[in-house]
Amino acid sequence: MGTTKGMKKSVRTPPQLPEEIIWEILVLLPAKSLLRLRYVCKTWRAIISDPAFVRTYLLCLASRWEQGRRRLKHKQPPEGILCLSLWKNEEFSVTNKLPDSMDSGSNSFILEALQGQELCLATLAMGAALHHRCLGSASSSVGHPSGNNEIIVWKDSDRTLYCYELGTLKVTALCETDRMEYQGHRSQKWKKPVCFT
Amino acid sequence: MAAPESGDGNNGAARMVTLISSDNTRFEVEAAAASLSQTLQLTILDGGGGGGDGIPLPNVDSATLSKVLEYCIKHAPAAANGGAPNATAVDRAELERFDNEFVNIDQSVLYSLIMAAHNLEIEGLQSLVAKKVADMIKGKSPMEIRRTLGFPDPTPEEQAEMNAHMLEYGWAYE
Repeated sequence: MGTTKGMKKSVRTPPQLPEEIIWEILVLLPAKSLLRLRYVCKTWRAIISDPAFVRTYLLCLASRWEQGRRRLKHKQPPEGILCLSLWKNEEFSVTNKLPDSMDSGSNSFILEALQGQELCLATLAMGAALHHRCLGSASSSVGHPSGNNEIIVWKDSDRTLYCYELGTLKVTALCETDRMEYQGHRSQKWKKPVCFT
Repeated sequence: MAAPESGDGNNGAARMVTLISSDNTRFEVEAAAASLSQTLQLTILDGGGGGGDGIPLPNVDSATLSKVLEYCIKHAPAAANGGAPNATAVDRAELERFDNEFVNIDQSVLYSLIMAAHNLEIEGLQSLVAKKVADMIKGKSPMEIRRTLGFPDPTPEEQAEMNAHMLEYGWAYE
């Protein structure tokens, strides 16, 4: 009744939300959305590209991962690097030969892994540099050992795991994977992804 | 089983505090509800806000404050139960229904709420509004997000950059 139809909404000034609040909103979003959000405004883009934000983002995923993990029962594979796709409820088991530098305790699992899905986009959200330098294709996976400022990525074409250091942006080869299997949330059966067979 | 007599609130009357909005409107509310705000909690524990004094909130206008208090009053009983371990499923469903309805509001009101929740440090409300904004963003294209959030349209350079990005990362836009 009282609204003026002709009023132009786009004239409004952008909401000046404190960075803290923007962080709070962004950590709730899937990585795919973050990737698109880089083109919304400069402030948001700066936040998304900030390694400190990516760290926070991954830690938030970590706690959600922990919650999701409780629902999964693994019969067999796990050992070595373990990861879970949050959005598809799949669990990945990547290698049974851990490099000495990583202990196999609770801190060494990969947080998230996806075959060309949302989380590899988190890598991209951090900056296309990693994508070009290390991943090569969009159908790679990424994970994050909780508590470290590192992300672990691998690509389909070879079986090497790479470690990406968030602070220095350095990529180093970590180890060869000798095995990769995953299970769907429902099936509870361990399968080899096509690219690894 | 008789519950132990609670210290405050003699005769069953809960302690009240007065909050004063930026435009000088006074709100009288139960201390338990106002204490959902971390910022206010300390003042209230120190015995402030009672009688004619009132706690001034120079950053929150009356329209926003009344909305914030609506949330606090609704959530205070559950918070008093320590996250309500003994709440029934019906109670929880009712709170959830309330929350959903509560953030179903005009965007300008939503932004005022975000700021108020942040200033007053009301944790539950902070995550509720953050989640609402996140839901508004999810699955939208950059242009749609700009329009939704009221950012100005992109400059030609920004547009070109965005197009290039969409070409390279088409799968992120599917």
